[in-house]
Amino acid sequence: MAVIENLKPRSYVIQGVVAAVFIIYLIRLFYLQVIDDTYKQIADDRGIRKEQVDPDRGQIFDRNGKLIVYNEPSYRLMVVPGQVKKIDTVRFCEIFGVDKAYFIKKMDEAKRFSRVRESVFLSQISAEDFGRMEEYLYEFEGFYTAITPVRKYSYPAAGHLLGYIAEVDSADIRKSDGYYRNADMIGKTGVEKSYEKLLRGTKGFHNIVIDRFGRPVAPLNNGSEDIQPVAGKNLILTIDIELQHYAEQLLAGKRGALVAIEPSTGEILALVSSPSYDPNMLSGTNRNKNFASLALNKENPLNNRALSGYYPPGSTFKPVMAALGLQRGSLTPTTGYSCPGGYVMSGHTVDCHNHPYASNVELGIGHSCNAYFCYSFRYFIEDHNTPAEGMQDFKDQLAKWGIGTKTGVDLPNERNGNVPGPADYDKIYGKNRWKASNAVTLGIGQDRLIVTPLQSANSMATIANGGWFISPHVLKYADGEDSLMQALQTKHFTGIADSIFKYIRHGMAGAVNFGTAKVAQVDSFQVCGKTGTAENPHGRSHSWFSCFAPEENPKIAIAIIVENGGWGATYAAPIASLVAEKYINGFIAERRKPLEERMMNASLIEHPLPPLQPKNQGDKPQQIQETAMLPKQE
Amino acid sequence: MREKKSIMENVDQVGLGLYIALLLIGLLNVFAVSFSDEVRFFDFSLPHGKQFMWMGISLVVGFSILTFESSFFTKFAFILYGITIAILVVTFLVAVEINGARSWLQVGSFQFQPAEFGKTTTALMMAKFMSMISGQPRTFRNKIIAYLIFGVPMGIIVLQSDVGSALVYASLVLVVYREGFPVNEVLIVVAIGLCFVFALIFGMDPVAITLTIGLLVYTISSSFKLVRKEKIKGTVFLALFTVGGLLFLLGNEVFGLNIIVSVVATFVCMIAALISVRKIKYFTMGIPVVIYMVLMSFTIFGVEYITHDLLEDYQVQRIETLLGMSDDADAEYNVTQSKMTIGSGGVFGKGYLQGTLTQSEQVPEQSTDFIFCTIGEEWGFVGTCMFLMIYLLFILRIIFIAERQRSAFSRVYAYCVASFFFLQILINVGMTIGLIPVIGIPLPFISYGGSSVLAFSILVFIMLRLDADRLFILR
Ligand SMILES: [Zn+2]
Repeated sequence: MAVIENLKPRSYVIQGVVAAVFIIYLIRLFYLQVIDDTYKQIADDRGIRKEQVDPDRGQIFDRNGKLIVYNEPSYRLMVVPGQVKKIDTVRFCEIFGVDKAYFIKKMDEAKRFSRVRESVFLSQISAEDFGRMEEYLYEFEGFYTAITPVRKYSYPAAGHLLGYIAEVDSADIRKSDGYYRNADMIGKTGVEKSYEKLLRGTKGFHNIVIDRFGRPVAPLNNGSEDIQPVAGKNLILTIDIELQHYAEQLLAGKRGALVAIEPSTGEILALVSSPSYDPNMLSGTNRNKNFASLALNKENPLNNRALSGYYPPGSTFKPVMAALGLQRGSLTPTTGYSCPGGYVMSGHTVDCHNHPYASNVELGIGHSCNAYFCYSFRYFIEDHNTPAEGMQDFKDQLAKWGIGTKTGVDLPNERNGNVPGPADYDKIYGKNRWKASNAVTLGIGQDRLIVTPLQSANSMATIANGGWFISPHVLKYADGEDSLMQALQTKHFTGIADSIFKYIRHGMAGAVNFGTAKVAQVDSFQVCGKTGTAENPHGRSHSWFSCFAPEENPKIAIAIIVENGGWGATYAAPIASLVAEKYINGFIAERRKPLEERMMNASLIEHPLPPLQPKNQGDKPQQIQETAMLPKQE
Repeated sequence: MREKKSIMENVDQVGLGLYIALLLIGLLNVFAVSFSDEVRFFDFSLPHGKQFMWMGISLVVGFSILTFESSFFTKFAFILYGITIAILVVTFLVAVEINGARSWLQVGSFQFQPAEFGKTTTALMMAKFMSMISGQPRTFRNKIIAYLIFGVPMGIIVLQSDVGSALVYASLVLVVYREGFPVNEVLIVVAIGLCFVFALIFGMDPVAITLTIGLLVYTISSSFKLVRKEKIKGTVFLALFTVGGLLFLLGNEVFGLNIIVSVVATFVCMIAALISVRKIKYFTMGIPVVIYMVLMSFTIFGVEYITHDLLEDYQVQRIETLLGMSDDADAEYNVTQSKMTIGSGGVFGKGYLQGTLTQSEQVPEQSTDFIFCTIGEEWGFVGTCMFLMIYLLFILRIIFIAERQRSAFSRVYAYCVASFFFLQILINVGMTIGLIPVIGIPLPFISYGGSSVLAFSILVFIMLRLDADRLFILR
């Protein structure tokens, strides 16, 4: 053995450390168990359970006070396995309409979860069956009934706009500063998401004294320490649900989007993305199945094209181009440009259709002359010191219209669209090695100009208002949210003089009266509109129509795109004019009924969704499996 | 036959008795948690039934271990340890994620934590190595190897996000202390460990800086001795070390270096400093240098990595709760419920199977990590007192067994066992009574969980087997 120090003392040190820890723990236990009596006041054989009490989620009404979203109770049978005494399984199965295998499976699952906490035994019970079940419940200890609210929708419409609620995911919980817990519901899209904080209300907590088997005995201290839930706020939306439903029917069987705005207030009257779906599909127990089938559908029905669909505006952009030119002075109301079948550049020609000479800006819009607006764009740019400066100004001016930037709508997932700037052209042609003529098709809404249907509708509202807009929004009223509603009323000015817009309105009226959009004529009021055709490299062109009506004191501004709909006049203009007519007159004139019918029945979709049904037929097969079939009582 | 009998005669009766007492206490308490009116005692589908079955298996395995030649354990220590490391790595790669930790392996329907069984093999390896170097001078190389023997599995387990088990491995510093490693070095290792834990809790900066300054001062002051003897080498070392330390401390903020650049520069200086003292007997000067580099890597990459990637949100929240950093009711829930349950037991408890809070599942994880609550509620202060006394006796008995060994192998192994049990109790009981953060590890023999009971039983029986030979073999 080598000579080493005597290590025995180290052993005592270790034993001392171990003993010291145990002594500290014993002192702590003495304190907890003998001295501290914080918890002693709880009766010896009882415990307390803190139970979350969910508030009712707010209901949603349309602008006319029609209830569109509400909560309906969904009945469930719960079981606490530890309390289940010997029961007559045969009788149980008979009464509750389940087979023995189901009974065994569910009891097993419940036991595995907890012997003293409740598990769902049977869900999706109809109100009628539920009533009858309750009469038998006394025979079966350990079984209880429970009611959970399910979101219901009065109309099979406005799915995209309203959005849906679903169980929180871990990211929601993390971001909520401790508000959400597992299994809480949260708005995931649409209004349900934007106004989640108003709709959800405030959770309550009840302290319940329980006995040794976890059965509730009484509220703790008579409930004096309970926190009561506060129901969510009801919202009144700006939409007209009838109009929304009508527009969805017109767009059924087509891909596209429609946005209708009340110009003077920025209130969204209808916001449609097609194909659409019945919002009831994403509520209740079949949600997951339906969600999967919607998510996998090739037509992408969950995508809200109205806010995030990207389309070149095509000719519907011409009125905006005219406004920019007139304000700049690079275009005057009486400017005329001859059109030899298009705008001729060295190299190639921007084609135009055959039309009379556009001797002023109104006729330029009315005849939708491509050459006219290529010139307008070119002279707008060339009115600046350099093309780059001009292009930047073009981009900046459009930003004031909410084009190339967000309009500020109070719905999630709005996209910017795109307005190219000087940098984009520098990239293609080299720094400053390009001029206005390289980009003239911007003047007719092509090149890399991209808008969403919402932006297009908003620019119509801006023209209707004479140069300003209020950010489109869907919230009309929520109790006690005055500052929020005030914020939604902010006016945005484009900097373009009111006087300029009378030419544009006349031009757009002309387009409907003698130009490309004659089909949009309504007998009782003047529609001002502009058709457009967005070229689509993948197939047939998209059909655009943007309009507002009536010409004086406009009540509605609409933008609609029908994908692969061909000319603007084929689908887009008829549908928009029908929506305007329905909204302003409340009915469709006899003369236009065949048009209405033709639009509703037109189908451009290869993978149609199941037709929308007011009553939720999709639930039925599932219900047969899970719902109790009770013996009829005589 | 005669030999076996003599082995049974030599098995430490007190140790075995305490072990069986703990097993029975465990069984009673797991039964108490799953108890309700209709539960039969022998129902193998329920926790206590499974626990009973596993105790049977553990005893069978345990007594068959007593029939092994004790040379088996010395021979296979290396191989078993190697296999353990391999399995731990594999576990990290393929593990089933349970409660956010990737530390469970599944074989068929049987789930187990390799870290539990790794304690035994690590202890054997430790015993093997320490017995090999016993009597030799404590060279730097030997000491580093000793630390690495438990440091490596510990590191892998940290990567598995199983902080609790990793801390238990750290308890082996007690063993190297007992085996005569210099106190100041052991303290430095412990200090680094503590700093690491605190850094996790408080964020790294103040701790890293304090520790860095401390190490700098320690090394520089002690290297003046070196300079007096070895003028050139000493000065080079001192200069390199100082420059390296300053680079680390100030590189980023004062000299404006990229953090990676300053770390690499520090590393280069430190390694150069190490090389400069390589051949002189002041080699121990290098220890702080190495520690310093490890610490640096950890503080810069490790802590950041662990707090953001390894510790789950709920763990961070639990730690914050204990430090009063969060008043979120949900995060406090476990500790409050646990203290309430124990507190409600009073002096004499509510009686066996009368624990109402236990019965109503008030405390999450009560059959596993929070089983101590059941003892507290049903047996009161008298019960917890008795229970802790039994455990204290058990640990002291193991130390007693260790100290009577003539073979270094057996002594070191027994100390490893004592250290493991000590830390398990320290952490598990500490968290249920709210003295330390909630870190999920079982209370050995008491918590529900078959693989845990089996692993701890194997740990104990190997010690009993080695001890039975104490009179015959000097190893
Ligand atoms: Zn033309």
